[in-house]
Amino acid sequence: MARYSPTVVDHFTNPRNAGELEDPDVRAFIGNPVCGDQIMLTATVTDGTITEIRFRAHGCAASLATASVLTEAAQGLPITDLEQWDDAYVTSLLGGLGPDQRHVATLGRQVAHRLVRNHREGVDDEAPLVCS
Amino acid sequence: MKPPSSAPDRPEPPGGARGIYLDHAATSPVCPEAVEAVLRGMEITGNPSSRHGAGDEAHEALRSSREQLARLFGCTADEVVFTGGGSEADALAICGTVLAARDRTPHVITTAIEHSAVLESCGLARELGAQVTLVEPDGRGWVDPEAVRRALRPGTVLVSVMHANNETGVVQPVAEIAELAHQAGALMHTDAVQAAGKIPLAESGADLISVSAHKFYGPKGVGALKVAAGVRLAPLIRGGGQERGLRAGTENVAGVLGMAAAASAAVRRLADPGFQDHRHALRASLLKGLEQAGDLEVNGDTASCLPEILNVSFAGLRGDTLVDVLAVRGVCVSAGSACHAGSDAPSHVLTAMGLPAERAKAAVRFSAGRTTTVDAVTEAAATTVDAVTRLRSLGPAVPPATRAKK
Repeated sequence: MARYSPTVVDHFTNPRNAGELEDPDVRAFIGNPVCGDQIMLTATVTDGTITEIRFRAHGCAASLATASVLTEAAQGLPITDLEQWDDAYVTSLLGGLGPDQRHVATLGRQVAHRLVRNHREGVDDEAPLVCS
Repeated sequence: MKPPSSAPDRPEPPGGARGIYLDHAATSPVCPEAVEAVLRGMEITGNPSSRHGAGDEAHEALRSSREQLARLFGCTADEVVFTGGGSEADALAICGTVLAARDRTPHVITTAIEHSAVLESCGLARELGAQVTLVEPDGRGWVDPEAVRRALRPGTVLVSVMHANNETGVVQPVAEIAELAHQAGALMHTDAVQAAGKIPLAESGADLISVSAHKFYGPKGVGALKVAAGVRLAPLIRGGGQERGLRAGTENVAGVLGMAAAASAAVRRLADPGFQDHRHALRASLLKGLEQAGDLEVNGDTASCLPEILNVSFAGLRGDTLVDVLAVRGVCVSAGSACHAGSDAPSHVLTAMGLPAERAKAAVRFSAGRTTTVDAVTEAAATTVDAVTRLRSLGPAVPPATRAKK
């Protein structure tokens, strides 16, 4: 499928870590108000390291792949490492994105950063929250 | 280049390497008769306008092709104008009528569910000085003739209403609207790009009818416009005076021959009761299979539609996402909208029908064709149900406190 990198195709057809942890230590939610893409992450953090992480997602195929790739990359990392992730790094995790798909890298970076911040500040995204 | 031995084997999509093709409303595979005719046309050297033997051969190819197209339209051969496709035929019908109406401010009526080729041509007509009224459909995607009648006024020169909608397949009451247009002294145009080969066009009553070869198993890049005798049009492409002066440019002889062969095959199919039974059987099998997914809605009037086109919304997911997953799994279908650069506008057709944005964004169009089998649609439906179930299991993405209580 020429529209997407093989990594994107792999992740939206065989998503990893789909679902939601029952009693997570941290939860982060991001929604794109324009196209409606949404990603929610739940994670268990032990001694500052992400030991379990799950995603729920609604949106285009590239955004589903982003959520899946994020969880695979984050698993086992110190949670603060995610703060270093930028759009270019998320894009590289996805094996590249077409010009029409680059917004999903932003969405991925935002939800990763939000996970770190929520963990640091003890915030839980229980209420609807929309970021641009 | 030989792939490395460590490269994973690509899974074979269902239905062979080309998968199950259910996107005939986008384009259809070229039928063997058209392939043969195009190849024959490639051997013709002459310019149809030349006055020698080689030119005569090309001229004769066009003459016989025009007769074949006339049978599809239900008109005389003199009324057939060859174009570079359906979009060009729409532009010539609409802008050509407006340009020809020099003595007054022309008024054009069209509908909110037209193909962009018609809507954009109406936009150009506006730039040329015309006034344009858009008639809205009802919730089933059907245009009420009464709504068209109310939009008519003394300066109305043209009413353009599509024969069958490309997204929902809903068949419009074109003959009834044509009668109203004629009573008001206006011309009637119908974009019959989706209807050609599926509905007899002779009964439409339209003065101007657009068709595109590749939608009825002919080659891409060639189409035709029926221009009824006595209709005044100004040409958009000017030069050599071909096509009765309505469309300059040396004719695409091979393409026209291919379109004509496809048109003759389409006319034969229209009269074949077996073909009629088959298209209804395909729709019934497909819908029955898809219903296994639960929580789906059919978009458009199911009582008056082309059976080939089935537009459905599966609750809880996005149509473009489902289309991408199905593409990987070898099922070719279309979505009403696609996510581009972080913004996606739902289909203008479904929006005009008043569908909520979520349902419009979930829409997926399945369109079967003459070679589609019941087994193929059954398999495609099973693949779709599995994909829908998997995609639904990834959501909802909203935090627990905001989820709707069931």
